[in-house]
Amino acid sequence: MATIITKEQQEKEKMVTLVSSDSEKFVVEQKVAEKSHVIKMVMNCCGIESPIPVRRVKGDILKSILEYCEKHSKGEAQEVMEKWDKEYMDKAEKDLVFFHDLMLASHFLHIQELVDLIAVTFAGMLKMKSPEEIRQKFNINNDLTKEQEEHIMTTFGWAFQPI
Amino acid sequence: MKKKKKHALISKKPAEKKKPVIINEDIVTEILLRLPTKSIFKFKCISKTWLKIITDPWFANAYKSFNAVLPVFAGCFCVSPKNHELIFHPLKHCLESPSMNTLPLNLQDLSISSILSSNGLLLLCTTDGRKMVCNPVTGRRLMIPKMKDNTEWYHAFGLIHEKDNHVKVVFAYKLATDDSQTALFLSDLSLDNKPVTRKELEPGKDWLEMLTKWQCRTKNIEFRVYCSKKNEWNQKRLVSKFPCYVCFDPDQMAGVPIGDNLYWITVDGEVLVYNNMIKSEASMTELIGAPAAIKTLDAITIYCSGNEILLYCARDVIMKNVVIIWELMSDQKSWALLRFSVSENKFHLLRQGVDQLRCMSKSSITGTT
Repeated sequence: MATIITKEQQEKEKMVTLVSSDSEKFVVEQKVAEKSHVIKMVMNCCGIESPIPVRRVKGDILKSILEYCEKHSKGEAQEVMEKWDKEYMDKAEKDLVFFHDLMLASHFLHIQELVDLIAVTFAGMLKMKSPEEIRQKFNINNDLTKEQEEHIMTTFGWAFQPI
Repeated sequence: MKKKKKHALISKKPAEKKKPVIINEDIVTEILLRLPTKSIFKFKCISKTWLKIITDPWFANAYKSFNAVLPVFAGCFCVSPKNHELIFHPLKHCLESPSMNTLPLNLQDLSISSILSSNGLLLLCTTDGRKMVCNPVTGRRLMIPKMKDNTEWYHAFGLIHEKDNHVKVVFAYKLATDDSQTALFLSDLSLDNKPVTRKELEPGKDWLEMLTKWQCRTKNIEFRVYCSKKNEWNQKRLVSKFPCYVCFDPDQMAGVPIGDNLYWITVDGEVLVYNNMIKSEASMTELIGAPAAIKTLDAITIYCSGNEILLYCARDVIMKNVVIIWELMSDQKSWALLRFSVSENKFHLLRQGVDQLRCMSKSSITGTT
């Protein structure tokens, strides 16, 4: 869980307030917020006194992202982190819309580690699927012409066969 | 400051859980970069957007640098007879090749009589007797100048890469047709559906004469080497004299290059080696005996494995589904039996690659761009 830190703690650490698109406020340590390259740049140029709006990211997503950033700013042993990452991904990938938005937000906030983690999980999820299954999953309209599709299917026939 | 993003963030409202995801292009790219090549080819036919992302040259580059290993390129090109497009058939699907397309060869300006390949490059022969080396990736061509008293018809060919993008092109000619009588045993010759003997061949019929010449064995083979760096043919005659008769396999004229060596399979199942570096004529070429009695083998072919070792593949004459593979040992004389039974499918692909075109490539496609 993203820690929403009390005022007493806030005085000890350098704290920064982030505001999501639906006006939810999150108070986190500066080193946690720094995990995002974009927020780091904002803090560098505008300081941390006033709240930083994260207008493109909704509260539930931001909460999840900050949870990740906080865990990853502690510098724990690699095995612990890997285990934690796996559990984090298992939970997130259950809801595809949430998972997609999580990736989009981490991409937007420039948290490369998290983008990597999600993309690898995503790739594993899609790898064995057929094009039709992917289209259904993401509601993609097949706008290729019959000829184009046939050309791809015949030229790269090997890609469509099971190994 | 925050950057304006091109793509709108698609966020769901908690109430409408069932709203389908509309996947963002940046996200698609990030995911594709982490997928194996096979999936990428497969996903080309999802939609125009996915196709656009995958065929963008930027993506191929990003994919290559992202995956950090130079792709090992094991497979064969086949030329489609219809439109001269090169189609790549990888032997292992999980290999990462950044080549996401077939390669148009654009040979419309030439009248091609044959295409052979060696070491990732193609040798084009035109009907008017010109020869050129062509890089199928960049489309660049290198014209080989005509050599004095050069017979148009060579019996084998091979290509060796040199420094600074230069090549050495080796042509092998059978010198004397000492054993012309054996020619007719090698293949059934027929004319108007009747078997013919050598005596019946009309002297004027060029192609029959040619065919006979082709199938004759010889003890003397001349090598002519064109070096693109000096832009000239070798001055000294390089003739190899063998203790026994040799005949190149007409289906496998293109040599298999490994390091400084070129290997050809002969119709008797032996392997002829030509070493580019050895200057003395006596040891420049050598014959390596077949690993097993030729009569028990069928569909013999040689190719280079990924780790630069010559492999000798054949099928058992009796048990057709058993494929046998030998590996050439470092003494360049003896063979080690590697393993039995490759699936029939893959073996056909191998044969197809060597027979029909012709191109077994071990070089990376990006290495030549």
